[in-house]
Amino acid sequence: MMLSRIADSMFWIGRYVERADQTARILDVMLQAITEDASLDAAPACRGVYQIFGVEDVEDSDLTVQRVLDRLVTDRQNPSSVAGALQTARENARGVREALSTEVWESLNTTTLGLPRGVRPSRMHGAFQFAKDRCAVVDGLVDSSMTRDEAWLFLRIGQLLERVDMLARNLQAHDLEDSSDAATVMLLRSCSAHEAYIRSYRGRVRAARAIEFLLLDSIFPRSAAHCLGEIDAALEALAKLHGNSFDRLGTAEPGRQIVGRALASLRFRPLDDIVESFDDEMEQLQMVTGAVTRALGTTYFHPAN
Amino acid sequence: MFAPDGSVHPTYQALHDALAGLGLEEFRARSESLARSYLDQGITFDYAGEERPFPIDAIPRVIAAEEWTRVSAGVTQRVRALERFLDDLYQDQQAITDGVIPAELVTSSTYVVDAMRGYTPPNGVRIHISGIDLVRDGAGDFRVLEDNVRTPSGVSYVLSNRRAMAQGFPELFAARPVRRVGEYPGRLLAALQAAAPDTAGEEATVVVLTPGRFNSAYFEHSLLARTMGVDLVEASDLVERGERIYMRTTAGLRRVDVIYKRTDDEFLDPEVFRPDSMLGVPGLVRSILAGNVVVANAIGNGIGDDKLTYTYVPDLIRYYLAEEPILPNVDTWRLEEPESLEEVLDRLDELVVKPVDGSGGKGIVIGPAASLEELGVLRERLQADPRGWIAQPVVQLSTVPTLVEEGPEPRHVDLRPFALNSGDDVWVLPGGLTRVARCPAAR
Repeated sequence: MMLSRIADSMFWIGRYVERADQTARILDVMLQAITEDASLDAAPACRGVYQIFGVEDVEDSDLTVQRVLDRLVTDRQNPSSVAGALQTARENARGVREALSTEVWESLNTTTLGLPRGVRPSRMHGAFQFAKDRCAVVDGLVDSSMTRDEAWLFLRIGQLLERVDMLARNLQAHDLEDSSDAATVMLLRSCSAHEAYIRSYRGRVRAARAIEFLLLDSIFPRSAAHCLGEIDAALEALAKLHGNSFDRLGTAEPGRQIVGRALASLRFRPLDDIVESFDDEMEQLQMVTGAVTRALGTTYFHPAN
Repeated sequence: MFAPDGSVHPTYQALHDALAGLGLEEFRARSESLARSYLDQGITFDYAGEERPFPIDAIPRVIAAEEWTRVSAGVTQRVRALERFLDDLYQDQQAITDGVIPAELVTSSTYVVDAMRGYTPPNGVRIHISGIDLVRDGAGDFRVLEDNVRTPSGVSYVLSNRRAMAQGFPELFAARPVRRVGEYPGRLLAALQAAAPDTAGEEATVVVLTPGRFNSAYFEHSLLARTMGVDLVEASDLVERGERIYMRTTAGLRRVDVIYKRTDDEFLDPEVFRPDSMLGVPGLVRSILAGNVVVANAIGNGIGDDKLTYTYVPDLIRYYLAEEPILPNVDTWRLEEPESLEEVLDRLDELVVKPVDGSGGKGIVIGPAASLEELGVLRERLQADPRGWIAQPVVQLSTVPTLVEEGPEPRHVDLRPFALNSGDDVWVLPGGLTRVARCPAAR
């Protein structure tokens, strides 16, 4: 058993590293599209980008690619920017070094040392690449150097929850009416799913198929169904470690109930039903993250004594 | 490294030759990569709220085996005497009855913790971890500058520095056999487990208690916990229930047997000390007195490294151990003795004056370097509170070569060896922390 404070930090390290990674991936695609399309009006496009990340206080002066970079990439005061998320992950890691492998700590530490203070649109791809590479290093070292103990499970759950959350936000912002190839390819690419989709379905992209792939594909590691399944497995492993392995009536654990319901509601309903009330469904999916976070709080981070 | 005539000291010959073989440019390049690696590893200390890489000097300090044997024996002797002193002080105070130390030493100290009177730790040890600061005098002999028996820090840098040096400058280690320091964490854990209360199970649960990640020595707290394989806890992770101490885990409360505390006494338990402390665990002292948990080092050790106590340590060694001190003190005036105070006030501009409760050079005034105004202020403070100060002559400190901007330069140094007391024996880590003066040595 581990200290609750450390478990909590591990969970947030997982979330923040994933947030940095996802933010870099989405912005890389979206901002590139804005800058390379001269016919596009940048202002509404930038507003759309802020919307994905739930940024509310957007002034007109913020509606440029440079401002998006300032606010969502290099602003260290904002824990949802790429640099801010990595900085926050590193600060969390500093408080729990004894629970991380030295390699993971050092990779997080050197990552923050190398974060850019400012990025211009002409150089942004390099900055995104740096962030993605560094997140991949952290992820790889977590995978190869850490015991599959509680600490690892909390980190992993945080990472997967954040991934589902970002996917749901991205999907929610997507215009379902626009079934053009360009819009669908863009969605797939911003979910880092384009190549995987092409390989799975062959041939040209189709909007409905893309949504299906992103939500339901059970073997694509960034789909909602896959991530929820992994979260459930991790929660079960956690329960076993705590001696709650067998529950004849299903499970009484609130976290697993929430995840199980979300997974079932995606998997065992016709896709048309989901698409029908897509906005609501994606909202529901995002609420899973908050609900599971709270459930972990009551079960593990602040258990009643 | 060098004798006064410029020849290389025999102890340093092998190191000198190895360094000369590298050349200054290569040496500087490797030294810079050493600094870089400290930054990457996060080997830092907090200074004025900012996290900074710990500076390391790439020129090693060599101490010959035969000299170390004496240092080690001297440190051990000192720790044993101070253990006896603390034990006596919190029990019968026989040393006062026998006139070895004046009663005022104790009654006037702010470091005697009344709550701990009559308490004896389960294995009798109060100074589990100590750091005894040494300097070389003009004749080249080691003397004790001060004792640290509360929360001496710095050992993590000994361990990290050694590893970094072995990686960056392997040839320097190949040149001579160097004793290893890597067994420290294992020894520390053993000493802490040996201190556990009788109620503890076969394998006592040990934790390191840190004030938090903004503490200047946080890196050390983390490293020690990590290398011992124990939890690093903050006060809010601990809770007292029925005079037992527990930590909050993902599976609820779990019993703690031994706490290696890195928080100052006065913050440890708001029930007994500062009621406003956020860094403490209410009920900790009650749990200690009930014999259900052990804190290392013991609460109330401050009287042991009070600088006025320091002046009596040679007498304490003779009194408790019936031995002659192996390592002498630096000559010291006790200012509460009127004739000493008078002499010191006359010679203020040539002496070093230190507050009795400061460690690591805090509050120290160096007479020859102070302005007339500063000396005036000091004079008033000494007259107002003679118990609060001691005075020492400016020791002709030895120097070692240190790499600075301009190249290698002589700098004044001290040496802090670390000792662990497991109850069965006092073990001195064969290595120490050498701290280097920031300013150039007068030549």
